[in-house]
Amino acid sequence: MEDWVISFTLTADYYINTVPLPFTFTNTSAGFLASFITVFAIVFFTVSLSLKLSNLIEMALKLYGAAMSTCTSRVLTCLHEKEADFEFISVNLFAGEHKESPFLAKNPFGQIPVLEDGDLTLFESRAISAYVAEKFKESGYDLIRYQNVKEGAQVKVWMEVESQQYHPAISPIVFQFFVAPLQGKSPEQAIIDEHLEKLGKVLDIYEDKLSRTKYLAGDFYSLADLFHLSYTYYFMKTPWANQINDRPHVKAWWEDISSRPAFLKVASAMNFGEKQN
Amino acid sequence: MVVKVHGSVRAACPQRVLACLLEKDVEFEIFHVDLDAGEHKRPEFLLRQPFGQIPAVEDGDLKLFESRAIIRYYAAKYVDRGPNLLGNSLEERAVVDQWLEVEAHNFNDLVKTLVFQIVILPRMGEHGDLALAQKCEQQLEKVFDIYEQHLSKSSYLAGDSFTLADLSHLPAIRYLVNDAGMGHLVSERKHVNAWWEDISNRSAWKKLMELSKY
Repeated sequence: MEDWVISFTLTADYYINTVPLPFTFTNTSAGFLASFITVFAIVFFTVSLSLKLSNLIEMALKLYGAAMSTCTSRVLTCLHEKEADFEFISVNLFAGEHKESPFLAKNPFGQIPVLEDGDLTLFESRAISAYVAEKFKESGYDLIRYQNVKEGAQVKVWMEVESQQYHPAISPIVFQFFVAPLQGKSPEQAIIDEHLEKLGKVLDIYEDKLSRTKYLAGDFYSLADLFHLSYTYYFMKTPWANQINDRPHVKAWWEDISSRPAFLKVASAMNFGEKQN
Repeated sequence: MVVKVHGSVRAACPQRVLACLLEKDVEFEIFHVDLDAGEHKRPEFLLRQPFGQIPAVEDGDLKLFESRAIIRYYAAKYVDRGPNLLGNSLEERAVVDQWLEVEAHNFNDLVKTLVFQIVILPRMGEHGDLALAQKCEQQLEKVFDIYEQHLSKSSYLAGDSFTLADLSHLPAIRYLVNDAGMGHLVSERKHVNAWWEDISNRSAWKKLMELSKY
């Protein structure tokens, strides 16, 4: 308990017991009881008020990142699905803020996003998202099936599929199309073509899976589906969106997951590469 | 119930799973998959693992793939058995997860590419791309520098105990040190070297090395 709370309640206690208040009859047991209840009520009220105030003052979660970044958006979507309160702190990527101190003390790999929650500092968007989904498992939408071990295991499997199969195929395409031009280079078509072929094979497997279950880990939306949102959103703005649209189950899945309110909130800021008028 | 592990005992990803099962003293049976014969690309195997990769695990009616998902599942299922590979609180588990992600995204691809060019292609009678291998090596130097800094402040990646985060690195570093001639990446760094000596001398890993009959 914080020191000022203790001093306040001791002070309040002193005044209640020394100042002759109308309801304090310390010579009778009833009076003593009334006095005790009054002190207890004041202490209880003061403590709970101070706790509520301290929660409001130190907004527990701080997310460092860039609103248009894919990995930051992954975490933002998860925070919105869990209805978690957080403070967003923008990191100036174009000024290289993430590659210098003091940011490197938060993530020595010099990457966004980073989450601070009290004493805990976390990087890697998938680890951050999994932490948020677990910490707030009882609020908002259940992204991890925490009450069903077998379903939870399948969510873990398809989270890794995104990480190990989908991401390596799609991210170089997004990088070449959106980021390379900003670095003064033209998109390398050979890299794009190589990865479009890889992505096609992955999406064929997704098409088959999604013809049997509504979402990737089962008939329920989960963190595994969420992990796909941010890169796919940008991919759909490239000339190769047909990869998704030509596969009916993948298309239906994409339309479903990308229209969730939690994602729509985040997508509105994902304007990387758009011409400014 | 005996856990059925489909894969090759000398391949990195099955080793990640087997190391975890050995740490947790979980009974398993290895069903060898003949990669040279392309067994992992055949329809029967694709039913287990649609991406045609090893390992795939069968535990009663539960079927799992992706080695990092499998180890997370078993470390949680048997949290009270053997060493705690996950951490003691939600916050500690998150830090374990963070370093598992570092292994997956900042480390593994570099090692995989380097080993493919220097070890695998030559074994198949082909020429590896030495320039590409060198580029991976240079990038790995930078990653290992970050690990060196971090391990100078903490005995293991996620804190003061061995966890999944350390375990996940074992197969790849074995390849670097034993097969790819890249031991200097470890031995030139005092804390990385001490950490590698420690984790590679754990009895579970040594048991796996015996099973693998190198």
